[in-house]
Amino acid sequence: MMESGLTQQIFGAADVLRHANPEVLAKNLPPELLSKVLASSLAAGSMTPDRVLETVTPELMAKHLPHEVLWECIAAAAERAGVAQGRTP
Amino acid sequence: MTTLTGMRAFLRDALASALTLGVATPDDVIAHATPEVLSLHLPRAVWTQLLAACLAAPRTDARLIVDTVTVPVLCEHVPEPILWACLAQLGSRALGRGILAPPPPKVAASAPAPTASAPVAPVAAAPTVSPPVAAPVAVAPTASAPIVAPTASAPVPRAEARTEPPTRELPAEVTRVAPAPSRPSTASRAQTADPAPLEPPPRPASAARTTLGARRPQAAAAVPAKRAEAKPAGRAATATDFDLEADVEGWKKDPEQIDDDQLIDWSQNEETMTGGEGGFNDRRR
Repeated sequence: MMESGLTQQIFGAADVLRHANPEVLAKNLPPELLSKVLASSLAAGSMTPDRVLETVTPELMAKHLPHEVLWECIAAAAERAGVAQGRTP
Repeated sequence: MTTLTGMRAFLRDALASALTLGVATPDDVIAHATPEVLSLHLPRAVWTQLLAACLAAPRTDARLIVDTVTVPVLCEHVPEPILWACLAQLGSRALGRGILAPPPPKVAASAPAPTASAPVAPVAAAPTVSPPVAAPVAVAPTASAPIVAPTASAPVPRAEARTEPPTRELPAEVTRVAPAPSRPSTASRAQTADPAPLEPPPRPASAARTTLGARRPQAAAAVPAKRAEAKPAGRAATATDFDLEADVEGWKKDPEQIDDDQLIDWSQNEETMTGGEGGFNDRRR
C-alpha cells in the first residue's frame, strides 16, 4: 500500500516522513539503514525525504517501521483526497 | 550525558582542542567515526536529532554531524580505538608539517626567474650583439671611402666623362673641354653630368698671337673629331657636326698662313652662334 500510494501519488515522501519522523526512523531502523541514510546524504550534500525513501524503501519501512505509523500516513492521505467517509474498521 | 573520565575524557579534550585550533577538521573525525560506526554506537535519541537536523538543514556535511552529535557524545559512545586512531592521524600529520612554513619552492621562485634571468641572457648576448652593430659602423667608413677619395677612382669618372658628354654635348662644349687637362674625377663627373658654362675666348684682336696662343688649345679640337666619332650613330647630323668638320679642316691649314684679319672675335661674332648653317662656311676672306 505504501508503494502504491507513492506510485499513484496519493501521498508523497514528505507525507510519509511527517508520520515516520526522525524519531521513528532512528528508533526503529537498523543501524545499517541509518548508516546508509547518513552516507547517502553526505555524498549528495543534503538529506531530503525523497533521498531517505530512496534508501528506506516502502518494503523496508513496512519491515521495520510500526504499521500504525504507516496506516496513519495512508489515512491522512485518503482524508485529504476526500474519500474517507468514516473511520477504518 | 554522563561525565567522562580517564581515557575518554582525555580523548574528548584532545579532539575538541584539535577541532578548535584547526589541527583537525570535521571530515577528519567522520573519516574515522563513519556513518556505520555512528549507526552502531550512537543512541537512537542522538540519531533522532541527527536525522532531524539533516532534514532541516539545506546542506548535510561532516560539520553538521559533528556539531549536532557533539564531541563529548562522540567520545562517549564511539569506541576508544577509533577515537585514538583519529587522534594519531592528526598528530602525525601535525608533526610532519613542521613548526615553520616551508620556503617557497624553487620552481615557483624560478618561474619569475626567467624574467629576472632574461635580462642576463640579453646582457650576455649583448657583447655578441653589439659587434654586429658596430660592424656596420666600421664598415661604413670604408664603404664611403670610395666616395670620399675620388682620386682612387679617377680613371673611371674620366671614362664616364668621356662617355656622358656626347649625349649632352653642345657646340660650345666641344671646344671648351680640352682646356681642363687635370680635373678631379668628381669635378669631371659634375661637369659631365651638367657642364658648367664655359669661359668666353679672349677678345682683343691685337693680342692675336696671344689669342692665337689662347686659341691654340683649339688645336686640340682635333680631339673632338674623335669625340664626334664617338657620337651615337643614331644621332642626326647637325650643324655642330658640320662645324666640327669645318673646324678640323680649318685647323689643317698652316697656322702661320692665317692673317689677323681672319681672326674672329668669338665673343661677338654672330657666326659663332650655333644652329646657323652658314657658320664657318660662310666666312669669306
